[in-house]
Amino acid sequence: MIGNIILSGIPIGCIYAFVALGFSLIYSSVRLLHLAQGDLIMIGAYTGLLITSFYHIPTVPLLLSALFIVAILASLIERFIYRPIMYSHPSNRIICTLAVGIILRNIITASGSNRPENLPEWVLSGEPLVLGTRLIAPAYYWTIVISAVVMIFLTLFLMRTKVGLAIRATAFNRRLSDLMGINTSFMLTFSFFIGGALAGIGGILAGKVLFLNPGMGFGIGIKGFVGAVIGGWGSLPGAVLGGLVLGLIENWVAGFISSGYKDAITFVILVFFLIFRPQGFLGQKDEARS
Amino acid sequence: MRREAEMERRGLRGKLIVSAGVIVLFFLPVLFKSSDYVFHTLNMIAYYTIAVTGLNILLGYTGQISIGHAALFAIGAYTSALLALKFGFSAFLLIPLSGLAAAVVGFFMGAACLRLKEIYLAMGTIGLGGAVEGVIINWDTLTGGSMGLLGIPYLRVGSFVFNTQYRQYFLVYPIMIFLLLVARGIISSRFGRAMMAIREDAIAAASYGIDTTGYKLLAFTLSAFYGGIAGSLFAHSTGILFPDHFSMEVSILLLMMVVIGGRGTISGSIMGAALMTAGFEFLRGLKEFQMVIYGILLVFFILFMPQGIMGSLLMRKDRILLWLGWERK
Amino acid sequence: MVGMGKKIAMSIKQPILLELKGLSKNFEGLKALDKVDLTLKKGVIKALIGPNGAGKTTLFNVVTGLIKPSAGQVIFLGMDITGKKPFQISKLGIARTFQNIRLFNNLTVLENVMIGAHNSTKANFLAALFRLPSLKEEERKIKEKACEILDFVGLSHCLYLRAGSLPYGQQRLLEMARALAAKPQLLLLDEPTAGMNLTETAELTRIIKRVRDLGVTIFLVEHRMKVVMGISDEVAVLDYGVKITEGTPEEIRNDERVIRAYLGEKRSYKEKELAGS
Repeated sequence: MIGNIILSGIPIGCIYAFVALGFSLIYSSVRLLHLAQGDLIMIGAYTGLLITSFYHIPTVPLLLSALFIVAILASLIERFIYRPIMYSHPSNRIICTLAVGIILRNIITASGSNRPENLPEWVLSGEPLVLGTRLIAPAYYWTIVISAVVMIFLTLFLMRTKVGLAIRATAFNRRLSDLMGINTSFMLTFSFFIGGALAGIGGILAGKVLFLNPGMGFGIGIKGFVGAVIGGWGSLPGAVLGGLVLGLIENWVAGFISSGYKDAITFVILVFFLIFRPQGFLGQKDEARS
Repeated sequence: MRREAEMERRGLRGKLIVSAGVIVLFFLPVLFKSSDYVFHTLNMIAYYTIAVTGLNILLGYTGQISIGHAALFAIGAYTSALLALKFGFSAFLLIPLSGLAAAVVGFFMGAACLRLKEIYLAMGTIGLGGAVEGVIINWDTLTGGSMGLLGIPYLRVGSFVFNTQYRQYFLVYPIMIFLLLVARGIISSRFGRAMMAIREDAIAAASYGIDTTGYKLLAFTLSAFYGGIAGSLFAHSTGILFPDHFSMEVSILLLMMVVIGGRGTISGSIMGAALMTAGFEFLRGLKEFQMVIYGILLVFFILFMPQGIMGSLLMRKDRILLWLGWERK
Repeated sequence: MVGMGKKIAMSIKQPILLELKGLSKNFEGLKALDKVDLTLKKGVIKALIGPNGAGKTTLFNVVTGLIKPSAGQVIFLGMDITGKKPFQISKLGIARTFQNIRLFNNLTVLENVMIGAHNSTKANFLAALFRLPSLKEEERKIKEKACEILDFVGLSHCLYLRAGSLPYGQQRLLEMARALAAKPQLLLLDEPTAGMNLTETAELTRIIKRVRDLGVTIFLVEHRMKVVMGISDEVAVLDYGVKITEGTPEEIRNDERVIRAYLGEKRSYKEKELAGS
């Protein structure tokens, strides 16, 4: 039983981790709580649906296409919607991200109904993996593999490359980075590009592991940021950890208590952490008032 | 000296306008007695105005973001409905109690989140919104779940039952006006100033004696109270409650009303509520496109008119009055 | 010379208003303040100078409670206020202005000053809800006082303008007015003349002197030596978080250590400015 929980909890946790990473990354760069992040995942999933309804392309090109499409969309949103209000009151900016989410969600809803609930068979396909007495569906193990690859790649990129350093510098202090010759304007947009890329990949994964519907983004989004909170807001490893932990806990509740309360437990966890440990597992203590 | 006389005259003029407004609000409707639809719309505007005013105190004046406000609306609605169903209380009890119930939840919510950074309040309120919706759906023995809570009795005072929209109008509007006046009272006192100071610059506010956490908590509790009352009035008007009425979408619509109507102004709440309610009616045919339009509108306002309609008007008040010939430069 | 003697005699008699004992603040390995000892006597104007990054604003932030010190104590009027919250400290009689101007931009000039007087307001909540006469009376009084103060600093002509729309020099005056509205015993001014032209600076200096004459003790951070020399009774010098010396303006001006702190080892126009003013 535990084994099942872990096996189905981790892939879902990976998807949550994608969202959580997106949140943390964007928050670190632009100090913005990007509530439309989950909806970007939804767009990623539907992009996959759209592409696969026309072309039978293998998984990797599909992932890359979704990655780029959502990344570009996110960059455009940043450049033309979020950038002008960059120095507005934080409440304004957050409401704006909500609005963007609504637009994305409802455009998809309004543009059609009666669509398949999953991406086609051949995406993330393969032989089921045999582990002892258990069978792991290909979608699940591919999710784990792809997630791991992306995380490693992202870490290397941020830690080892010049551009990664530039992004981190801009996140730390924009004015100072400007003075150092970094094109901070580009870095801000690029952060959203990466966030969008993560959402694109996460979307394809979600399209196989979860059920597709226009409202899925919001739900996943909430789970994602609860993951980011419990892992440590602003901490990238924390985001991954939090996402995974949340996926596992959720599955455990669904298994042992009831699947109806699966969503409610997310909020309980959130409130618990907000009251007792707002900085999450890996966050800094002074994330409280100042 | 002359300035004071002028201000007195303006005060008198203001009072005349208000009196005229009261007359219009109360006696003109008698002419339309038969049109239940009109009163239904007017009442809806009132419920939203009350909820939006509360949210405005929190968001427009104190600058705190609450994304799950529908949850407080829901708490008021279900509390009122259930108390009415089980105990048959009169309106005098139901309405304040619902407000109180929501206020209590708001208080604890605030106490948990407000000592943390602002984004934590945003997250916390989203959590609250989801949690309340979840409870409504899952605890269906109490709330009727997705099937809805049916058969909610009308409000009554003594033996007088408010069983038509027309009758409810004369209950709802005085309450609304009273709450608006109370809000205005808070705003134009040191409490309102303290809240606005927090919005503008919390660090400076704290340096001048303002207990920021305390005032934020006050604002949050007040906004919850207003939301609860609005919920109660809503519940007894529609007679049925579904979880749908209190979804995240509704929370976002409330935020929209604040932003579009005018944050930081009392009249903005009225304008926002009125516009959105009218919008629902007229754009109903468009269904999902409706929400897309609202989303685009919201983005538009945040980018170009963050003060909202009334906010922008009030900012240019002097120029407008000049243009109207009512002021001299 | 006689005036000097009188000043010294007066300062010896006055009680100590503010005392900093061994104040230290570490920011993740960076020592912003290192065992700073400082005293302020009542009625005095004391300047805090030092090169950029020396820790002056950090010191102010610790005194006003925005930052908790890593070690040491802040004692105000004999009370230990170390680690108290900013709003509590403000109620004890300390007001400050900010280096980067923190006005309530979307509120009017008048409202900004009225908020400064927040500690003097007492109207209770119910009175506000129902607009009772007690509230209206208090509002009227605060408005009156605010107008007086704005008159004092010379901003009566723009009472109803949005604070953010004021020109820079007037914004600094407004910050001063707001601080005065708090009726402080101790006024902390963080670079009050930064960015001001000569006329504005002279005006502000005049106002600071008048404020001192009203009995307010003033502690200011300032970069302009002319201003410092012109109005301070005492000067303290901070460098890399350490108080390197303290004394009268004349003593400081000629102090080798101060000159070196500002300039490194080379002479430059700063030194000439110190020598010449």
